[in-house]
Amino acid sequence: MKFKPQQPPHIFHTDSNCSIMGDVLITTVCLYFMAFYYYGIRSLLIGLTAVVACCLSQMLYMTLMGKKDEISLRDWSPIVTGMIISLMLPASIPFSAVIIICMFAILVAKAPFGRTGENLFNPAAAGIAFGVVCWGPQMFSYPQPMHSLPLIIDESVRLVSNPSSMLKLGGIPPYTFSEVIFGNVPGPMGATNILVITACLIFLLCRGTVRWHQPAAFIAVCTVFAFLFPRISYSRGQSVLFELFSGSLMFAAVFMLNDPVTSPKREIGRLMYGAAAGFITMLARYFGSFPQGACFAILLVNSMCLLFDIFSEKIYTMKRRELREFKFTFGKAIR
Amino acid sequence: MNLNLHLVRPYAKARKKFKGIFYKNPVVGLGLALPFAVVCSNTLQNAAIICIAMLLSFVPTMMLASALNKKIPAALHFIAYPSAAAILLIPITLLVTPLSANLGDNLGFYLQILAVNSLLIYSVRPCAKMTPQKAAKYALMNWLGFSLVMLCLAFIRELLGSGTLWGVPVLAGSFKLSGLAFPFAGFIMLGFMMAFIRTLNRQMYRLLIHIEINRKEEKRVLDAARSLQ
Repeated sequence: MKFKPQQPPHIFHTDSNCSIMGDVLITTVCLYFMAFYYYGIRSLLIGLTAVVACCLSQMLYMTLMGKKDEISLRDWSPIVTGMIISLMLPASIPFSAVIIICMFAILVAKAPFGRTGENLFNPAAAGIAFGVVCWGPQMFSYPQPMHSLPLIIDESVRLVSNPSSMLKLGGIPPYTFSEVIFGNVPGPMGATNILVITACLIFLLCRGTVRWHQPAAFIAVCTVFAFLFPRISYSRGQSVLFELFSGSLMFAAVFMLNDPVTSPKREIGRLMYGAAAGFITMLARYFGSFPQGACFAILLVNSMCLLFDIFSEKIYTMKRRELREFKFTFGKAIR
Repeated sequence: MNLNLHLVRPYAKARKKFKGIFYKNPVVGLGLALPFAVVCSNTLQNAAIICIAMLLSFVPTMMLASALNKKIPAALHFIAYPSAAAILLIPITLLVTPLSANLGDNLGFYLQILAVNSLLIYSVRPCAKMTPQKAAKYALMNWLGFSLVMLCLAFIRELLGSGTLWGVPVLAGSFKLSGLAFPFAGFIMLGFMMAFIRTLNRQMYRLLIHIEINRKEEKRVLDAARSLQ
């Protein structure tokens, strides 16, 4: 036998930060194609601005903290954060707002907690929440899809509210099922293409980058909530459809909730985490002052992540103890 | 290496002279009176009102604590002095009312809870052991430290949050981060301020030690050169 005196960790996995981020990048690029198709070159420029702002913020922080050896962006995490943030924004958002949102996400929500993988809150969710608080009206006014936008948004661009804002005001969105599924409705530039988002989820599940527990629990709770308390009184089905597919709920379920850093480690914990996020999202939608509540809900459950971990660990310990006791008594009976 | 710390010791001594302002600041150093620093520092006007009310309630209460030390049993200290501060706050509220048109809307109950703020409760015990003059100095230094932090936070938050200073528009255009007016921004900014001050202090010590080492090295080289001559 040959011993190799190496430093730990001794157990390696084929997945790395880079491969996980790479998978997410591939899926977000698909969403950018759709955003480009619906809103033109401005959507790509917003994405580029967000990515550059996130990378520069990360490098700035590392330089300020004297961690010059970590300045390289090898793990791609700021790029992913930038892309997720930009896909959650309307295509008509000012570029200055994009830069500040990205700077907030990296410099306030991520960098002070340490290196990549040590943050407590999802940086993208924190950035979007900050954007919603600072630029509420611009964040919830969306351009019509299939209209190429000019670089500078002026009064000639018609901005409308999205279906979830209509639901919030007590109205009924005038869109068909196919329009909603294909993303041909006003909304965040990457969050309305339900078909593509579902394909992204399947891809990420097949690759093992995300687990099914969080999105499944999240969507299930949202569906049940929308079914039990419909905001479109005459049709529960339509209510469920618009609640799930009209805003950024599905996008948040796929790209924000599954952040491996901020989610619990065990299966039961993940299920509870997803369910709690779904419940808080729906409460925020129904009773909050903003039409979208997924980002706030995710931030809230991020802070409870440790509790879910502790609780799930207790359940597993209890299960193990019961199994041991059962084996002990069963063994005695046989003897 | 044997260091005499000719620079570091005087710096540490000088810092301690400003105890309450730059050393052991009640807000950024000890984490006292945080609700005021977080919530009431959204505009300069609110911050100034809280600072005035703090001066007029906190300093006399600490002098009172020093003067009545032996006359009031220790067990009653924490009831007696907040009560005294609460009584003082009645005329103070009337005094500061003309400073703000919507005092009630802007500050809510934060003006009233100055009577039970953690800075006051924390300072009662040390002030009770001091002479009234020393207690007044201690309270004034702590108040200055508190006010400095409050006004700095309020300056940044009002300027970036609403583009104004004391209600006067300063920043041209529509650049506003209206989120800074919310308490969560106060928490974040206060956290960053704490981190900045800690880093500044640490860097100052490092710089002084670096200068001292260089001086020693220079002296050693010069001595070696002289001995060669």
